[in-house]
Amino acid sequence: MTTAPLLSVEDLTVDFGAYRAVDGVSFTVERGHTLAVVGESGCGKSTIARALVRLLTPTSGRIVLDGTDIARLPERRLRPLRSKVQMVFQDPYGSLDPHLTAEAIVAEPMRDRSRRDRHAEAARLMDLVGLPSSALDRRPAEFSGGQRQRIGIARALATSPDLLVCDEATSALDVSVQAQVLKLLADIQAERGLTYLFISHNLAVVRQISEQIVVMRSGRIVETGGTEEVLHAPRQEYTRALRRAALDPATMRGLKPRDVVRNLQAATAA
Amino acid sequence: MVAPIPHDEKVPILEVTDFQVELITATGVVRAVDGVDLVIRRGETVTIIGESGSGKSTTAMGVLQLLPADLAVYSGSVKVGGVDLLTDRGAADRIRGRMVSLIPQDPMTALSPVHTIGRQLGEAVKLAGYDGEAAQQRSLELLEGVHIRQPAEQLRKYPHQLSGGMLQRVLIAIALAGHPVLLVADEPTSALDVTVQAGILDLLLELQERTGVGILMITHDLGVARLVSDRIHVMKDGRFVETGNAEAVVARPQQDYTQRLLAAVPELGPWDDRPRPETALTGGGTR
Repeated sequence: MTTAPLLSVEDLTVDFGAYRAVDGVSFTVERGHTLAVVGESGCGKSTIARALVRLLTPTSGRIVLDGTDIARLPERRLRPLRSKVQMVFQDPYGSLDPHLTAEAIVAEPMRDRSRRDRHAEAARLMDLVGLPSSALDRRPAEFSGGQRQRIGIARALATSPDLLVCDEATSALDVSVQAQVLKLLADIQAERGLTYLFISHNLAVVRQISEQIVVMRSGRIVETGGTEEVLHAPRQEYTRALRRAALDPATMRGLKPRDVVRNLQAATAA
Repeated sequence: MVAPIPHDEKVPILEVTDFQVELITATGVVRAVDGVDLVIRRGETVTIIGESGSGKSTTAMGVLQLLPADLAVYSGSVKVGGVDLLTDRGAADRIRGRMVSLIPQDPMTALSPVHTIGRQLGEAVKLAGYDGEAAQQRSLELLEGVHIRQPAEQLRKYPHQLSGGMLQRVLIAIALAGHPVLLVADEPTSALDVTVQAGILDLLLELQERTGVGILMITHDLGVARLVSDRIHVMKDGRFVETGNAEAVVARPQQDYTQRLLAAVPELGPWDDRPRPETALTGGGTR
């Protein structure tokens, strides 16, 4: 049982009316590891995230989580499983209820526990994500973007999930804050053996946090493999175009090096 | 095509000296920009890089005098082509959209959704002194200049019918309508996909090579800054903490803050750009 992947997605398809947003996508994620899904807007990566946490019901295919196919489970049977998959959202400003205190936000998924328990657990989680216990009584407006994202992570951890789906979880953050949040996610994974599905358009971020990668375009998988290999020697032209478009300041030579971007349009038009 | 800049080469396009901006907020007066200096000459791109709250956008909007007049207090000097916008009160209105144009951050919301591209571009073209047939011709030229295909067709479209990258090209065309000597680009690509971003940055570099337009770029992205800039100013808490040639600032940052900022950028490392035979995929899922 320990060798079976925690998550196995098989031939997943999601339609919005006549529009096929995700088209026959399959991948697996090993327990305690991180799979990154990369691609540009409209490629279907966020739709996959929403299907995994069942904010939407896929048209067809399987989402096997720890042995149970949750793809089309009715809400009643899904409910006890929801705690196992949690999501960290992109927008640290829009994803927290502005009226609630940090404690109420973090403790919200633990409504079945006693008040004392909830308080203790919320304080523990806040400590885990590096926020002081004095922050418990404050509301979202009083926190910076990075602090809010930490609160979002603490909330996601409140149900002791097996799988964390991070949808552009660091994209709205400044680079220095992003570095802190990425380190926090890595520390939590090392400590708790959590499994991550990390959705991002940023290849450099993905290289830092994931072992496996799925490159998507127009709802389909273009290329998959080990992150390091795919980013070092992409097999597909589209992945190469993405790689070329990622502006890595460390690799540029000369002032205003137009060659870095000059050939890109031809490449991406292909 | 875009006309070359009629400009005295000895006078910088933009010369900002000891520029301060104080903002009146609910909790008191905040000095958002605290004495910055910068110079942009013909054909140069100067970039202000910084994290949120550093004052980089306030500097750009302050240079354009686009901050709310009753809430912003300026001091120092902001000279465009030798004319100080801070002492000559009407100057900003005269030069904005003509000598100096803004390329906004989010192309998806910068245009009016209820008017066609042609109408909105046409307004800028008329402001630049074109009328009737000449205005239509100028609109088509501007769209061609930013590499938009079938320009006549695009003029009849509404913003929602174009992609983000196309809209940003339209906005650049609008910015170019008045033959500006200076473009102020506030995070012009941060709302776009990376492949689209590269095309827009390439276009800006090309326009600059063609016309010599100066660019003041605001970005939080070190990759973008490194690519397009001659000089980079690193901004923190309203001040420039480091200033230098783009290559030097990235390769040999002198200040702690710049070093930390650079260290925080995740690296992609070297890669092999050679196309290889299209071998079977390592995972399933593709047909």
